[in-house]
Amino acid sequence: MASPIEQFEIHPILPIEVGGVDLSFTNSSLWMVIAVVLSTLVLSIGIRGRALVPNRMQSLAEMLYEIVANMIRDNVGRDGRRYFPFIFTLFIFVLFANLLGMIPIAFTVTSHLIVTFTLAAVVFVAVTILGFARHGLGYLRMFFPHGAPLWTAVILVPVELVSYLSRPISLSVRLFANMTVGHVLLKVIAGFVVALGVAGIFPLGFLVALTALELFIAVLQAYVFTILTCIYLHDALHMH
Amino acid sequence: MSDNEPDGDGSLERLGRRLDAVRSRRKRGERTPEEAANREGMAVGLRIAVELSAAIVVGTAIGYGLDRWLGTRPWLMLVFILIGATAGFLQVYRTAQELDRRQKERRAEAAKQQRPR
Repeated sequence: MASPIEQFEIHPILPIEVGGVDLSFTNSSLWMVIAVVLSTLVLSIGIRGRALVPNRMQSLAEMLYEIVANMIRDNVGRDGRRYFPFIFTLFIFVLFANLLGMIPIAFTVTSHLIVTFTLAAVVFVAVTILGFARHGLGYLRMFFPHGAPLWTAVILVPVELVSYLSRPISLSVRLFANMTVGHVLLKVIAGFVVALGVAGIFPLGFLVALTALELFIAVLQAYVFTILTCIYLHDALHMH
Repeated sequence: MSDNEPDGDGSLERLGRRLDAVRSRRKRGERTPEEAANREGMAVGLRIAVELSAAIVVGTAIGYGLDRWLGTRPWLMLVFILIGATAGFLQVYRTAQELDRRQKERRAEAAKQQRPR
């Protein structure tokens, strides 16, 4: 029986090496491409009709749009609108990567820490640059709360600094951990089904419920990832 | 369904009325707050756990790096573990505050919708 970790292995599909650096096109790359192509297809087919009374595909595209638009309006504010394309892309990519991972034999892109960390690092660097561009050196006040006595800076500044630097870590680890744990659990329970023979019907029933839960988590985590990006963006624009 | 017939003026209004009806029906059938809280409970718990541990890890890493650079092993690492833990608790506190605010908003909205229109 396959080990529960085997599903996370990366295999090169098209080996490419440039100057000693391994740039192979792997199964991970393949599923990223699938996520991008599929989301582009779904959205462009969805908005092609532009009907006043939308059909299913158009409703789907409009719903996704509205979710992100509302999220930005509630969490960033009016001036967050210009960042809509970035946040929408982020949300759609994570959402599709998570959901595609639920298909059997598919590779879950977001179950690799380096993938989620890269996404989080892009957000972190972009937000930090934005903060400095907006407020200049005044952005450093992020690390010192208003009205605190000056001598407390010795403690508060390192604490705030560490908590600021921990953002990309917590953002990426949360998504990675959720996806990895879910998929390992599914595989382990599925192993019981085979091992128990006829009595395997009980773990099978549990597996059905678990799959539903995993689908819910896949959507929820894409949502959480995006909403936290919005909150960080808000902090950079308005400084608490 | 006769409602689907395209009959010039008034069909849009009718559609609007139907949408309103469906929306209010959907509102009534919505999950109770307790149910939603149960399902979100795991996500909230994991979020807080990750928040706390990430800050400690970052603090420890900074301390370790500084120690290697300045050759002060292990003192800066010890100090930064404490700083990281403090930052972690601060993050947990902030997360809790934010979740609280969100829940209050949701409750206020629910109360607004239950009042007769």
